Amino acid sequence: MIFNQLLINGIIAGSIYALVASGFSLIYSATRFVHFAHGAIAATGAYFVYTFFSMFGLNFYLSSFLAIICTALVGVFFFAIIYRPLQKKKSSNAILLIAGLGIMILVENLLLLMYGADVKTLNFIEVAQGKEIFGAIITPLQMFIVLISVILLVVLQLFVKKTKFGKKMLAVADNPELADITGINAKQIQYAGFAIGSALAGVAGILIGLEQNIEPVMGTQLIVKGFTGAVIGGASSLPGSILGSYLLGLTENFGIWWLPSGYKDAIAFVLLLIFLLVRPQGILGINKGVRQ
Amino acid sequence: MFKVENVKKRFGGVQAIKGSNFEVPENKITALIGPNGAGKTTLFNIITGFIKPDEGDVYFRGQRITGKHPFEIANMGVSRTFQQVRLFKYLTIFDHLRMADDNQDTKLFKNLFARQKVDKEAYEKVLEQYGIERGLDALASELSYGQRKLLDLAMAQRKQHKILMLDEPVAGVNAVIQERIENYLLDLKQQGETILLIDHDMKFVRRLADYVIALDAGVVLVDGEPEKVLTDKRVLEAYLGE
Amino acid sequence: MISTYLIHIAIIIVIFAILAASLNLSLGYTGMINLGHIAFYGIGAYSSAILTIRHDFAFIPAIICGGLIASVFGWFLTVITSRLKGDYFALGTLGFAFVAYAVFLNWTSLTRGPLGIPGIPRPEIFGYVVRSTSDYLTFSLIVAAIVITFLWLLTRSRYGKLLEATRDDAVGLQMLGKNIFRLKYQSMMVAAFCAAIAGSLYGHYISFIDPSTFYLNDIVILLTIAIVGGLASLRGSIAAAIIIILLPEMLRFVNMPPSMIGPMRQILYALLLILILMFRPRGLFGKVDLE
Repeated sequence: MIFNQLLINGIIAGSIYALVASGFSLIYSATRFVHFAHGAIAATGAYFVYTFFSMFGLNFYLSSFLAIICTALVGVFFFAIIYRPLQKKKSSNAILLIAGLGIMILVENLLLLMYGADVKTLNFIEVAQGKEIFGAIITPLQMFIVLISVILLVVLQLFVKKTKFGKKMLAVADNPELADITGINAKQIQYAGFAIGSALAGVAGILIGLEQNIEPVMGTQLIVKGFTGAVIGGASSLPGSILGSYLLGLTENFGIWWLPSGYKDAIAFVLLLIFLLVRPQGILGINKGVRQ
Repeated sequence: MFKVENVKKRFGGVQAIKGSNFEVPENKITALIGPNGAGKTTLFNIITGFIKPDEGDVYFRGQRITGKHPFEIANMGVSRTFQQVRLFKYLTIFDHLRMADDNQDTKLFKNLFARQKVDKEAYEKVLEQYGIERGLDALASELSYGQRKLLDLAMAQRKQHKILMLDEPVAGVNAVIQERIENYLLDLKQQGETILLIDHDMKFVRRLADYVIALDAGVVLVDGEPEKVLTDKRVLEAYLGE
Repeated sequence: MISTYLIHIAIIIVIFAILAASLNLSLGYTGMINLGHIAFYGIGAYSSAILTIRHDFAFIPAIICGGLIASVFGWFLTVITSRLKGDYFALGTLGFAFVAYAVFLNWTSLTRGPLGIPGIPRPEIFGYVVRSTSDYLTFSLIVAAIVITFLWLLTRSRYGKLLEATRDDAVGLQMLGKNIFRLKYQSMMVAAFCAAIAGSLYGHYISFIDPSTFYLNDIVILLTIAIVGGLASLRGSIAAAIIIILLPEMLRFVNMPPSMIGPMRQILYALLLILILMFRPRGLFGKVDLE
């Protein structure tokens, strides 16, 4: 029954990656660059909820709500003061990527400075006895995590497909020049992309905080996973990124059948490289960064 | 010189080259003409190895070159310019000309202690010959468009070659430079150079070319003497029907 | 003991000067946005440490083997990323650094994983052991002089111009009959070789290495040095190595708990990197724009 357990673990991991990846993909669609600090923004989400809930003693749901808002603001803040000025100077995508790397290191070390290197826990939901499903064990908390992600991903999909603003976003993603001509405000879309994408990252941060430890360097891992999920699915396609994330979660968990668990992060990158080599356009979308 | 045999190429849903068959004769100026989208530049890219055809073969002096890398084809004796001039923006004119001279520069260790001094006078003569008005130390990015075209042509001509392929050699340059290029190509023709060129300007083609191939989706509509091709009804239709 | 401290800083500067100059070969001259250079540094450090400790290699063969091993990985990295461009290429190389780090951390039978490798011997050259710190400084200066002179000769040669042409317009260069793939992997292999030498110098100096030295923090330091110094400028890399390594040392003179110095250092580097990209992307002596 170890198969079923790995399957469930893979789905749980995939759910969190999918939240990070869909936020990443939304930002990528709206702005056309790789926001490498996205994982670090998710980490701030975890620390915000830790601050409100564990330090200030606020109600958990209120804390989460505030944390999500704050995380969205942090994302928008970095876009406004760093990425956007760089974009205005017509900096290449590689520069924006390196700037993102800089932001990531900046945020991680600020967290380290403010909260220390020791891991934090939220202890909101007691780690209850897991339920057995098909011989695999899943805790109520894990079910909660999967449920929340799935709901959010569905809502996000509906938002993009059904609302006027979401459709505009897709138009910009498909064809930035067209969007300029038809008078869709590209700047507004970019800000919205960052706000929504970062809010999703915040949710991911909180969910991780519920189940695992919170530590300053968690952002690196998250961006590696989120980015990989997004790219193997097709970076500018939302359903693609979600699919890619679950695929990654499953691959990682089945991968530790053969490899020590420390290789988990490496699995993501190996998978990423394989995809970039064999199917650079991703499962569903079309990645523009690849030579014909 | 070249033989293109039943070459086909599809891009997405568009059949850009529907089956191309022609030969490029030696010691003559051959012009490929046709409306936009006739597949002229695509054929150039297929011949020089930048694009692999879906079907068919290209032969260069009897040798099959389909599937070879562009640099291999270039080293077999094919010189080519691009529609959009491709120069190295942080390198000097001197570096450009020297790069075209030979392939000694590809040897990493041999070049480390090589003498840096060279006879710059010879290069200055090249500038004069082509009418490039900047010094050898000027960066390519400092040149005007016309000057870049001249430098591009100078490089293609200096490189060891048996055929010169020119993609719109006079597009976008002023009348003075256009005339300069035209005279230069006429000189080359007298010297027995083999040239294959693409151009839109019919007057230019008429004055220069010995042999004209009119294309539509890569397929040869008419070929032969300029007078015959340029007055052919099908060619006129293809242009007017654009 | 102020002089010992200064000598230590000087050695670190020399090591980073080699590292940044070699990165500049692939990043600045050849135009390959390589964010995984730190992996070659790590491969060099681990190779020569393992070869000298476990296989009784002498120092010089060990350092050369380290360089060759890193070169092979340089070739491999160029092959696997050959279809990528721009930010995707950069991410591919960054991924390479992550994978290398994961291997250092997990291949415990070879690298002892997080425990690291202690007791790396000081170099012995023709019977002379470079023991004291000041001797080590002299020694690393000599190595740096050799490596950087080599890079300087390379970049000013006709071959070096070809590398720059690869950066500026690879398509045009192919039509001049130059094999750009070969130029790219050769450039990456030379850069990797030099980075590995810097790695060996580091390992044999500190006498202990563990995976954490070859990870993100040092990628950012290295990138900051290369970009602050300026692309396609070797003297820029040297000057920036001095400035960037010295700068956070000022923090030591501010009254600050030691646990804060590490994060403050990284914050300083990250800010510097972001600011230089925003306000002076050509750095101090840069000749070309990062694209």
